[in-house]
Amino acid sequence: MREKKLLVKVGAALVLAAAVITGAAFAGDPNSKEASAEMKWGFKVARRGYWQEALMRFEHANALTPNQPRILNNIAVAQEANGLFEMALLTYQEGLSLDPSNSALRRNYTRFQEFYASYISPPEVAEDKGEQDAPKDN
Amino acid sequence: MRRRTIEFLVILLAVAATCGAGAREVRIALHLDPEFPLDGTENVFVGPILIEPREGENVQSVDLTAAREFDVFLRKILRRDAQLHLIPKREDLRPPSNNIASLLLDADFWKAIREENAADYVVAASIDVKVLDRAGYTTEEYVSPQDGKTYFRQVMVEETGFSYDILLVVVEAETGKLLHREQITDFQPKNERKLEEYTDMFTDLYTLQNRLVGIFVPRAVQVKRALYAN
Repeated sequence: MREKKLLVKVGAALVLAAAVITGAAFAGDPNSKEASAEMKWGFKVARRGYWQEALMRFEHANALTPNQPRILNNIAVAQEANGLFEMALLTYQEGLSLDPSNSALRRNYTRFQEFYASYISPPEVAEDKGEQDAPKDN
Repeated sequence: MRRRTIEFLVILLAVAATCGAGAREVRIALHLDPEFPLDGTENVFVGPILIEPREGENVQSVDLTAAREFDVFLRKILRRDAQLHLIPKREDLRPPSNNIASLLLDADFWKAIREENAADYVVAASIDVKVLDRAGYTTEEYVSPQDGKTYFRQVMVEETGFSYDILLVVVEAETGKLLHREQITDFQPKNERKLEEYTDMFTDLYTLQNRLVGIFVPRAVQVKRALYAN
């Protein structure tokens, strides 16, 4: 009996939380509603590997409701997937400047930094280094 | 009272889960362009593989073995993974210097390789291998779970294997111009079960292999990212 009551309470809390979030997102704003639809669609196509379309959807969502860290996070990930690494770096930074406590954004940014440092950061300038190493014949 | 606290925590967790449910992990393949793209029609000459000179030390047998093994490894990677057309090895190649920096200034040396072997590009390297066989004690911090205080304790550290420092260069044979330069460092732990410890000393070195292939052909790196579903 007690467990039943507890389950009812948990269910009610979930419904309430969902209603609060959805209500806050859409509160009579058609742009928010459209942006949310674009985000959902972008996520769906991203999972299928269509990252160009995903990026377009996320960018459209951003145009409808600008300065949303969640949207900027998705844009940055899509930019990475499309090989736009420099743009992704800037988008991550923009998102974090809006919401430094966003855990998903922070985690992605840390992982991206590791990747960027390992693979993208430019190698040393060959000619300069070659000149610095004084030639010593053995 | 206790029941109420549990209920409150459960509700709190449920709300938190609902709020955070948006971000989901996705796997993506990040495509990396080659640093020095070739179309596969070029003739590539591999060599010379030089031994990095060390002050006050003569060339040791391990250096010679490492240079020979690296030559074998490099050829295998370039042929198998990068699918480049390699010119057969020349045993009579005698570079005028053992210093890669000097060689890079000597355009005639590279031009001669082109004339003799019809090479378009030359992949050369200078290799420095250190045999690490160290064991000793080091001090590390330790927080006791009993009293929460920080103590220092001695721990045994063992480091045995090969440490590589490789400078790889790609030179345009026609002009002797340096086109690409890659510094690669890696570490191979010693395999105690091997009969000949210097055989295959470059196999299973993921960093080295990945970097070498990435110079010439596109790669995809699998990563995980969190993506919001709505």
